[in-house]
Amino acid sequence: MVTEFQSAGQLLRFVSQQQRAALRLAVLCGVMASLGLISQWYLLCYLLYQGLLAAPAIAVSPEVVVVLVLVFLLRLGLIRAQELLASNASTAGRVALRQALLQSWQRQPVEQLQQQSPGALASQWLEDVEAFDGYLARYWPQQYLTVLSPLLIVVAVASFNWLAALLLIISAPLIPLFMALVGMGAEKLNQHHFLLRQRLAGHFLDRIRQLATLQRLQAVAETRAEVASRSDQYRRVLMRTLKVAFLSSAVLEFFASVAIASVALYIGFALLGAINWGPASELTLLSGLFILMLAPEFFQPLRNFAQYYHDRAAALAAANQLAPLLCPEDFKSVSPLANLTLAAPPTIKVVGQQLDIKNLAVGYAGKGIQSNLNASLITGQCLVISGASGLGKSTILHSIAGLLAPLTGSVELNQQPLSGQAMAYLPQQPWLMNGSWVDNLSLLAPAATEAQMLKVLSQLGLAELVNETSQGLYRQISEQGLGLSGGQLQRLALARVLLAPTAVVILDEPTASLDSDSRDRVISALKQLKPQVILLLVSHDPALLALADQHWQLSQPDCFSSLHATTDQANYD
Amino acid sequence: MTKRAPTKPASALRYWSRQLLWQQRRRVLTGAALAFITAVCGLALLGLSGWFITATAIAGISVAAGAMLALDVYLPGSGIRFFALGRTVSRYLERLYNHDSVLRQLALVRQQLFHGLATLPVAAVEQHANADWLSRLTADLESLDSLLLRLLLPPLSALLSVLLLSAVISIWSLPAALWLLGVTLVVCWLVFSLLIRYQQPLSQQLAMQVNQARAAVVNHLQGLVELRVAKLQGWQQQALVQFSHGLSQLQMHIARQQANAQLAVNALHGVQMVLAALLALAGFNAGLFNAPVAIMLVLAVFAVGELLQLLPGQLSHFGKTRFAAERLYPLAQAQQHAPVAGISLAPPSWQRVSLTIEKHPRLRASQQEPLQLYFSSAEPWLLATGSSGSGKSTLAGLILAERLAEAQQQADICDYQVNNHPLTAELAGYMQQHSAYLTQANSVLADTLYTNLSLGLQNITEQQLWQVLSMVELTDWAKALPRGLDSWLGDTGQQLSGGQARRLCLARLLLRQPHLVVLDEPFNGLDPLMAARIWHNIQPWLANKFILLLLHKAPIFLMNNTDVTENNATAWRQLVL
Repeated sequence: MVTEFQSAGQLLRFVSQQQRAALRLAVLCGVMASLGLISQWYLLCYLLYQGLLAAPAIAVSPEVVVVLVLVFLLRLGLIRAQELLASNASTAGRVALRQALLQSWQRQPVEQLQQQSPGALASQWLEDVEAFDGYLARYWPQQYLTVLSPLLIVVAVASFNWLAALLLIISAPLIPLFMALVGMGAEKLNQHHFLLRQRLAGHFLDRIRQLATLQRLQAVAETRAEVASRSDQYRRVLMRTLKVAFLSSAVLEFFASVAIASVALYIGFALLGAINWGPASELTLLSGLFILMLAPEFFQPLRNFAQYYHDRAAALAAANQLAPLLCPEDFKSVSPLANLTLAAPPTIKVVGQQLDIKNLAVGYAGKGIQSNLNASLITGQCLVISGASGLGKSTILHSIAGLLAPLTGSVELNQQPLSGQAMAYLPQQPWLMNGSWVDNLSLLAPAATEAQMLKVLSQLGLAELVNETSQGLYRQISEQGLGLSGGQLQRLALARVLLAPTAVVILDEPTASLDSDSRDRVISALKQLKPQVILLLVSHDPALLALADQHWQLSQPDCFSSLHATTDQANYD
Repeated sequence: MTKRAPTKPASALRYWSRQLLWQQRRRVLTGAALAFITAVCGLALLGLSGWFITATAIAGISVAAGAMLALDVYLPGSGIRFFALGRTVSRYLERLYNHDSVLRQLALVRQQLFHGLATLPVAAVEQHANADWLSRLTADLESLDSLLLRLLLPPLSALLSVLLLSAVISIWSLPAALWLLGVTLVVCWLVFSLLIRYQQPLSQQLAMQVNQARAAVVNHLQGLVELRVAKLQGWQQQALVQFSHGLSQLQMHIARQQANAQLAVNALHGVQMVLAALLALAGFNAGLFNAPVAIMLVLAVFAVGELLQLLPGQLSHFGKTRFAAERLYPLAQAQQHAPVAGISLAPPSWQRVSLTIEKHPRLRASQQEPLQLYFSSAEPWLLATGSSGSGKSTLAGLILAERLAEAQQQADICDYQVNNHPLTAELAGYMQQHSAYLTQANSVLADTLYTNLSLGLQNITEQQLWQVLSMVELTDWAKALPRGLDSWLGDTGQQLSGGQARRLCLARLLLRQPHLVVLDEPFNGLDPLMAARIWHNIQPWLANKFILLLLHKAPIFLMNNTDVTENNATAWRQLVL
């Protein structure tokens, strides 16, 4: 049993844990860059001090300039390395997340995945994963640098003047404290206007979504005026919250500015000799200037941190979506690239295989649909299921195909569970993609050659259509099957089954909604296929019922656990 | 989207700049001034602090040496405090003011987009209503705020600050000022034009690959059942893994370029600092200025760096903003004028409406032989039944003249006649104004119950609303709502069940007096008894109207309905699709 991530935080921690080597290295580079920064400014101040104040003026020593430039270059290199390491870690993390998501799609029941639209899942795979970038590349390293860099700077300042260092130390924790207070105020205000804001923010998209209705009801002009007034109202409501929210960064700016100003004033008065207590007398222009230059650098990491904080919020929101879908095992599984060879389709054994359906009951937890289904078939035989709509025919097929766990009973092929075997399955609405005939055929018959494809297509009467243009098999078919009729699409889907036959072949209403020509082709193809496989069909078509060796006629279940399927062994041939 | 007339990319950006920045130029100017004041306060704070401590140091040394020296410490001291506070205040005001500007711009964009989209034909509008498209639209809308906040204001205030600093330096040395200005401008121009030039094709490629990847993922998920059963899911996912790797390669490429730009700007800043220090020393030695001024200038240059270092991050939004501008541009353009709504001309009297269609790809019944349907005063009612996929909704779009243009291309024959004359565009406009369509999907607006019902109607009394609500048996429900007719419906309000939404959509039509009514599966989500009662209630409304009723399967009450006989033997003609 797999256990999914319990919370967004857990997933974030797990993903960053996986990339910890590179991320820690990035932090190390950042720390070393801070050391470079400190020495860089020290050297610059030394240079200025040397040139401006030392009396009599000493000639500027070229060594200092050279070392300054070297330190400067080294620091640039370190910053670049930090960025590179962090962005590599973030990329690797996102690739791993995407693969884990793919793994989870393999693991989760089809029914569960189909509850969401493919578009929504695709946007999870793309956008939600993308939201981890800011967290990994920026926020994660910065949360350490926000502590470490100012610490180094404070140590450097303290080595010259502990009082100035104390001034910085005192102001530092005040910033997050006041920011949090302001943030709480903003949050409260936000909560207060929440519903109104949500409604106003959603107004435009809602009206665009319903535009067709608005057009049909002749309400476009009216709504256009409404869009203008609601947008304006939205602005006013949002500004009310922003007035408070922006205060939190103003607090940061305020403390940074005030700290710089106080440090400057303290140093100035100390140099003037107006302050007689503490370490003031030890200050020189060199140390004073150095401390002054470090003061803004002290606050810079905090500013970055505040800036990156919304990266974390975005990642958390995305992780909230993904966490329930993923479990740590998804990350462990080998990269799908490694098992490229998996593609070889199982070769079909000519010798008789035996399918046993025993005591099968299907449905969903708490709501059984059909039960007590039994059948035994060998290669060359066919089971047809029929009954009114809503009786669970497709559910039975899903259970046999292993897409839905049966409530009770078993489906075994040669005494092995059938769900472990590859099967060909043709649903009522076959799967098609934007692409050529070849693309569409090799989706489910990856090993088929073009010659085989042409042969099967001509067997199904599609050869003329393919050969209509010089592009042949490479002619494009669009997703809605534009240019192909429903019957032709159904035959194309059947061609895939014929190209990659499996021991058991499952077909859901293969001849429903087909024109007579298509229907004849499909029936004759199925007749040809029948001796090689075990066929399971849902159909009402008398021509297909004639193929049946066994037949389940489903009836309305009045109460679960009674016999609903009448199994007649009659051979219709 | 791609089928619209191609526009030059630069013109899309220019269009939005004109719409959003030029039209609000006074606000933009004020915002820029505030941003500039913030930047200047930053420069002044550091510069003055440097001047102050150097001056005090020199004074301190002189005093220690026994000299009497008067240094005014109070004016610079309060200057430092002023700039410290000024920077905070102006930064706060700047952010507030410019966000307000951006929200005003957003309101403008929304109006333009709505206007542009609303002039599209209904068939085109319906294609846009899917969730993917809407979420992309939201993202594009949000990207447009970069225009002011990222692409205009930061470079502008950095440029102005550099100009100001150069002007100040030129008091003492014009060549030094020109050097600073020249080096900064040339390097920045070079770095940023290179960044934009190289990043743009990459961002475009990235956007394309993301779309391809999205299509591939959607395709993969649509084939989930077949793939899972055939044990080919893992194999097919390899293509997606390739996409994932391709995307990450591109993103790393883009990140590297941005890091390079950042590196170049950081290097520029370093060069400026070292140069400034050396020039300041030279100026001091030449007696151009004293030591405090020398330090002041060096620290001011240092402060400029803070502004420049932000730029690579801000300007890297250029590509994204441009694409957003390009994608939104055609949507904001009002299309050729659709029949003007609102002008209610007296509808022409319709004796007969007929449609003949042959070989329409989505109408199965038209494949073998032409499908013919008509409405006349004598035979106004038609029931069309068919399973899902048989083209019921297509038929609705055809009879309402919404999808005629498309059908005339796809089908062999598509002939629409009113009173035995072919349908003109003008007539189609009247037609749509005087028809009512209950679509298969319910459309409930996120708004009050009142608005949902009275949408597009004037002079509707509450009494009328209650009357139609009682016809669809929603009176009890509406009365139980917390705020009656003013209760909010939709995601952030009252949730409706499928059946309630169905009846609400029907009630909305009952307030109108159309000539042609199309009801697509009106009984969806209703139990048969209720459906029969409601059907009975709306009989008077149905009388004397052309009605196309589309159903999966006709319920019993429809056929052996006593209302029919009461209503002078108007009966349902049946058409099987």
